[in-house]
Amino acid sequence: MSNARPVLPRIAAGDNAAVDECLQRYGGLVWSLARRRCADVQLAEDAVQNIFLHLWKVAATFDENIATETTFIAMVARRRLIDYQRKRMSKGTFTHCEFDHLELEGSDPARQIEISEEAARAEKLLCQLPTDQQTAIRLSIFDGLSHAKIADRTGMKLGTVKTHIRRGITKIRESLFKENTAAENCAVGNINAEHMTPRAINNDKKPSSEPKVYSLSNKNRSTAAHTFGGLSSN
Amino acid sequence: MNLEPAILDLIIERATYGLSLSDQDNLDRLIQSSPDPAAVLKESLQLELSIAALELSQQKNTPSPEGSISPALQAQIRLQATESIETCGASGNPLHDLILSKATPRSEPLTDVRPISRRRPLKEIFVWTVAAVSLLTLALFIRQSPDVDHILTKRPTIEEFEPSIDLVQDILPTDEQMKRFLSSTPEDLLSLSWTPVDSKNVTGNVFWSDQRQTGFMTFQGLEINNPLEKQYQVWIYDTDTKAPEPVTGGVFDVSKTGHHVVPIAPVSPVKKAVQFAITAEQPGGVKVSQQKHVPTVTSQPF
Repeated sequence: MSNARPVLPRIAAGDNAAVDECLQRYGGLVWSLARRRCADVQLAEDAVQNIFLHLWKVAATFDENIATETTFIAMVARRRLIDYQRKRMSKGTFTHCEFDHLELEGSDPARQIEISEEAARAEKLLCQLPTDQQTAIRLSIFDGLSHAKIADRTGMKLGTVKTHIRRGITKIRESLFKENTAAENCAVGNINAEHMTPRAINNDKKPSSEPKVYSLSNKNRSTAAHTFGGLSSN
Repeated sequence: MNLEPAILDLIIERATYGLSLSDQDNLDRLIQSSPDPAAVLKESLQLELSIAALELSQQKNTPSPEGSISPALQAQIRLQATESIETCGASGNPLHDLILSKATPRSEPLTDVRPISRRRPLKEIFVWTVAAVSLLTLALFIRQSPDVDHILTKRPTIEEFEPSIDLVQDILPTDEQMKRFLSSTPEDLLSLSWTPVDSKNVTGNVFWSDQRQTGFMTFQGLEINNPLEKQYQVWIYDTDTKAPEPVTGGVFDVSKTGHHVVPIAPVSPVKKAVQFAITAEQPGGVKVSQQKHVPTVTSQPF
């Protein structure tokens, strides 16, 4: 996934075909993130729609020198999901924000989400942290437990929980971005990029005067050829 | 840069659980008063990316949930994307990009899928004209009739002449019709995307329901046509029918570049649509494509 050509710059440039590609490539990831937080399918669908709508708006702010597209999209999705959860909780439609693992039990293992380079590195770095830090981070990020609940569950003091999470995540950040010189040189505008105005979109495509000949995918060739005869794929 | 623990805690809490308005104000204040706000923002972003990466790492170990984004939701998202990133023509309305055919119809004209909003008003005018004439006739008849009470009991009400719900639906712009169609989430919604090869620029989708015998297609990049020379024709491939040819879904024109939404109106019932194609045909369309014009685009599941 991480080696694929990013789609967000193309979306920002007004390429609608890239939207399909983005959905195909990241739809499962966003859906998965949303379902972890939303036990209700309808709520998850609302959230996913909200995430992608936002993603189109901030597509121009993606900078592959800072992070992979997968991580960027995951970050955008998390932001929206957190906002969404807080709004829902304030309206009383969300009773808790812990992640629903029960929903995952009946899932198809073959459909695991491909993760980004940063994710693989982050996982390794997490495993290198002291056990208490690992535990606090796992309960916080993986299980969605509040600091207070982590304290209850582990017997740690609330302040200790916060300290473990802070130190652990800081350590992971330092290691993740240590070798990323591009990130060191990145412009501040890109850092808070999500709030930037998306680039102007050029859709003023003039129609080609050439005759358009579209060939069919192999999957569809037989059906269409039935009526229209043999078509060149080139 | 080593951030103050108070800032770090707030940044991490924001990236993990979100912040209350007062905490967010507090964080903003702390960042602004820090010696290097830009560096704090940079580190904040990196922390947030790190947390996102950590959650992604968990995704690897956890199978993705059952199901995925439904076709209807995908369609909605695509539609929103089109609206978000699409710059319409001068009119600002993709409907204006479609023109009424000026071509001479064939002896057996095919269904025209041009926006109904431009065709329906004629029907409306007719209905209302009939209603007005009927009322006038009735009024004259009542005046001349000695049994006024009897007639009054049978007097048609104005409601009888009001457009039906379907008519109201049909006179909506096609993009609005499509939104309603998708919002209603047909159980058998078929979502396909056009398949341009040869790096051509035609993109778009097809949404269809066998149960409702209706659907919509969106596209952009289709070459502008001269209706006097050729028109675009939609074809529906039906797996359940024994007919050797696809069902025609209507004829339409493209007068401008940009995004188009066109309803699909089959001339005969479609049992199970599996694929759609657009061809360029003679004005008015044809019953069977004679391969004089190559298929322009075809669709495939997305």
